[in-house]
Amino acid sequence: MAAPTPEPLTPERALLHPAWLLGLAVLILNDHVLKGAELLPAALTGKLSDVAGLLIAPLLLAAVVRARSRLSVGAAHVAVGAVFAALQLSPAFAGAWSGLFDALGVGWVTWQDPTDLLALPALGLSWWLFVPVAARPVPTRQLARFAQVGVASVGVIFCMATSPPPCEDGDTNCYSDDCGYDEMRNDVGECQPFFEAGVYVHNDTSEAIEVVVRPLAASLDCAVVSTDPTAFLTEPAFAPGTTWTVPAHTSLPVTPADTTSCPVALIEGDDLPQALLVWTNQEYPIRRHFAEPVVDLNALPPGGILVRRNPQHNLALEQHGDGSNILYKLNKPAPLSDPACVPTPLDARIDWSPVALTGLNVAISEVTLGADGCFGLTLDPGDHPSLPPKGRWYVCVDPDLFPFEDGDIVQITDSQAPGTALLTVRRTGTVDPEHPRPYVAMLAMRSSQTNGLSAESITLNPQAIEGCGTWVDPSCGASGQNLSLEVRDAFSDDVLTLTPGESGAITRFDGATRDVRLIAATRLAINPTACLAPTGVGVLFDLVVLDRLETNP
Amino acid sequence: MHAKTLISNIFLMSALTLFAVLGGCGGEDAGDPGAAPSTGGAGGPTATAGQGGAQDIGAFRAILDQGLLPGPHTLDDVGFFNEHAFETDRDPCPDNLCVAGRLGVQGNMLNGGNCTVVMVTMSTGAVVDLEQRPPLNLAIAVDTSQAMAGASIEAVRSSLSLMRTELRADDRVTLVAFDSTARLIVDGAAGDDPNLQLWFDNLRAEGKTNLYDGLRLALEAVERHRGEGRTDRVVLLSGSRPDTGILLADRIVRLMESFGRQGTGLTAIGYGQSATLDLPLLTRLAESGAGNLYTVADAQDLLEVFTEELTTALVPVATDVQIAFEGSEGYKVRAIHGTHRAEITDLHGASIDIPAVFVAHRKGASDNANGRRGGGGAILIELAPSNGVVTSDVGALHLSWRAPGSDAVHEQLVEITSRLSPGETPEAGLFDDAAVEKGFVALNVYVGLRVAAIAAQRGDLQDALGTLAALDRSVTSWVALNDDADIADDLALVQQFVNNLIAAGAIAPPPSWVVPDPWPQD
Repeated sequence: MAAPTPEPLTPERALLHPAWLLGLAVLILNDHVLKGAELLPAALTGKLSDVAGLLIAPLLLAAVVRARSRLSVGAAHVAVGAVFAALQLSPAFAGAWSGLFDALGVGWVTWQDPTDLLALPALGLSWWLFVPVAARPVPTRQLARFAQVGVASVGVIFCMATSPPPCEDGDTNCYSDDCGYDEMRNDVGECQPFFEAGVYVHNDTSEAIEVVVRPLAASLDCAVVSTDPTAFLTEPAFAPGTTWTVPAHTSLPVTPADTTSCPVALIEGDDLPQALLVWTNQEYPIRRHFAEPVVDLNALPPGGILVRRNPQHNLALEQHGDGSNILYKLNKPAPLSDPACVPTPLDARIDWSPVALTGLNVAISEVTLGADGCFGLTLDPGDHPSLPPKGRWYVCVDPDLFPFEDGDIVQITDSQAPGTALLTVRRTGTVDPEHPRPYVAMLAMRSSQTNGLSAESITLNPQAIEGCGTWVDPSCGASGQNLSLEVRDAFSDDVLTLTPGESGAITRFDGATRDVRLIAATRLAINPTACLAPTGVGVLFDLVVLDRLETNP
Repeated sequence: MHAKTLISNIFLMSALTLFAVLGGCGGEDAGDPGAAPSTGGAGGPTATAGQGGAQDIGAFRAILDQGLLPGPHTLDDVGFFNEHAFETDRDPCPDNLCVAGRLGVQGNMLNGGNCTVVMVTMSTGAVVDLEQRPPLNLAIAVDTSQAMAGASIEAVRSSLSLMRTELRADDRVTLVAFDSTARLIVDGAAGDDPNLQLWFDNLRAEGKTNLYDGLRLALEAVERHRGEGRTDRVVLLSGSRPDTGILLADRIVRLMESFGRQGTGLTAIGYGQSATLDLPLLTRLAESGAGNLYTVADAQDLLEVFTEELTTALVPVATDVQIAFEGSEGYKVRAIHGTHRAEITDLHGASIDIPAVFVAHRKGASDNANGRRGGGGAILIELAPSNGVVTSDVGALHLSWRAPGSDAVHEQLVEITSRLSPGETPEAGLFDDAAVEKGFVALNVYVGLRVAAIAAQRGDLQDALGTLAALDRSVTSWVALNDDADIADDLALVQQFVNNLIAAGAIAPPPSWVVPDPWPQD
């Protein structure tokens, strides 16, 4: 007589078993509520999901693949256990596993933790609890079938979406495996709070200290400043800052105002020496640092500034690790003796009002020079009804560079482009034709072009001045280096190289002369907004050109 | 403290106290309405003169009222001192302008270290007739940029229209509108010109804000119409930060200073939200023109300001005013408080440069609630004694000025002496009079508040609280012995700041806590 054929198993029946549903509920609750809520110890919440998952996953897998025999259901248990163990023990397997699910458009990341293998006996519990249930006759009621499918679906979803995405470097809104928010595991597996910073101050003393972190309150030309930070960066350029109390053996992140270019910050404190910190994001990228006390300095990553007591028992600063220098001492700027290297005062620079009568021939009258160095002119286009009325116009320029008088007829054009403003005033005649005056044109140019400028057949190229140090405005911390300007004319062989304040002359092929005065030329490296006119950083120059002819062109 | 009755505004002090009663009690040498001010003569009433143009500390107070911690930028020493009346002894002033110096020495109210101050006061013997204001030479520069579009320009139009009722036939009115450019709408029209209404009604708002051109056009118009006994005034109404044309603030202020030295006063009105205005620039401009700064938010407030300005004439009594202090070998100049126009020239010297000093007088006899509008203010020179030097000479004040329209320079020299040696600090203090003692206390309160605000700004609440706790104890003791409403009000400010610090998490320090020295050793 042949052995009776065993009844097929229906793993789906087990999905409605209270124990299976309880396991599913525990998994969902633990992953989405208990973790990070600090209601249960982290060690417990870390293991609870593993146990619940191993309890429900085998029967879920068996139901999905429609396993019908004890052998196949057993294989499902073994498969789940094998995959689970491999994920905990093999980073390569874990990486491949994640990659497989990424290809399916589902995020799955795991973290190796061999202690999680302690949950494997849950597979045995699953077999003991649910296989007998799966062996019972299949229910005929459609409602039960729907329930089984529904529960299975939920189980699949929550088995795979067990935790929020892992923390990427620099991301703070995430979990670190099964640690709480803003926590990560240390090397003994404990979850500890962390902070993120590229550079940090570590209190290597046994008492709390006060540290003030002052961010830069200015625009900064990184390429220039990084060549010699202490030459350009002075205290007035930094904001008042924030005071922190740093407990013994803990670290404080140094957060610069601008994290995109070259970060800088000033640190100081009641007993702390003032120090300038300058670094690059490439060398000191944002990393995680444990916020708990760290006594073993070898455990500290690069980018740390240690605060210690020196033999005189004063607090001193010392950079930790072998990376590029971060720590600098603020210097008092050295006075510049060469006038060519000193920045032009703002009120000596050229400026003008908008020109309402641009392009028209207008008669000048009532020329007055104000105490502020600006001329006021009444411009009269004439009495024709189609012409705008006369009005006052103001231009701020050295009187030596302003050759226009009452009775001149001029044309004024004002063109503005990003980074450049060009004013042209040409004498085209005189009100009294019996007393003509020679042609003269004034070309005033304000520019912030780094790569030179070409206008009115003049080409200008800014260049460094050899031997010129950094100038610093002590009242607000603006700093830069003066430049010279190479001036070429398309209709002349003359080449002028002028430093700020210098004048020169170009003789053109037609005999006309161009007197050129460089009023200002500087490369602004630090520009606190409280200090200068609203400009950024970079090259700024002011130039005036006077064209003279003996007769009108 | 004077009550801000009119509007939410920043009040600047007029140059000279408007004690309306003074002019009325004097009576003699009143002169003709609109005549240049005459001197009071020996024994005549003397008004206190001030250098004008400062804001109060309304922002500082408002932040404290909200339970917050104000930053040091909200605390201006000129505005702070302008909220204190200093009743100085009435030294007869035989001239348009006189200066006096008063010495105060005591341990400071924070940590007891030596604090030596010289209080500088100005007075005038000029008397003006309060019953009739002089005719005005008034230029109104109105911001008609896009920022003023809509209800704002409508408010300006209606305010100007209503203001017309205060104008007289002998007034001269100029109206300048500025947006991307500036235009002369009305040039020196008579105050009763019926066309004024038409020109006011035609104001339109669009474009950018070219404040320089608008201001200069107005100043040039005032200069054109100067004379015939009129007082020269510009009212600048700005609704937004300048964003086109000549923008350099120093240049704009220097322009105003040059006209201020010729006796042109300026009143600045910021219309709208403070964040959209360039208040630092408007403040400096008003200081240069020894006038007021108002910030107003609606048409009613604007009308009140215009009306107030028309009934308050600013009469210059002196221009090109320079006050120089030269300390003896025993004293170095450490700081100067109560003016933005001072400069420390060397170790022992300082100078104060004021374009013009004005008398402000009003049509009505009533002043503000406490009679203090225009009456506050003091200049305090803080000295660092040179220990080991024995001398009774403290220093000397040298005053020079010109009468309006005159090139002749008038001078006065005042020597200040002390029976104490430099650095000697009597426990009860040594004060030439009650005014300098009050000034001393006010200075200590100001410094303490400022030190606390700086500490609070960087998050060091403990330092802030420790400083204010020490100040609280000292000032409470002083107020208990001296009945002074201004200092009592200061004490309330200190206590309010303390409460806010505690609410923010500061813990009261022990009585043994050492206050950091707000005056570091030289």
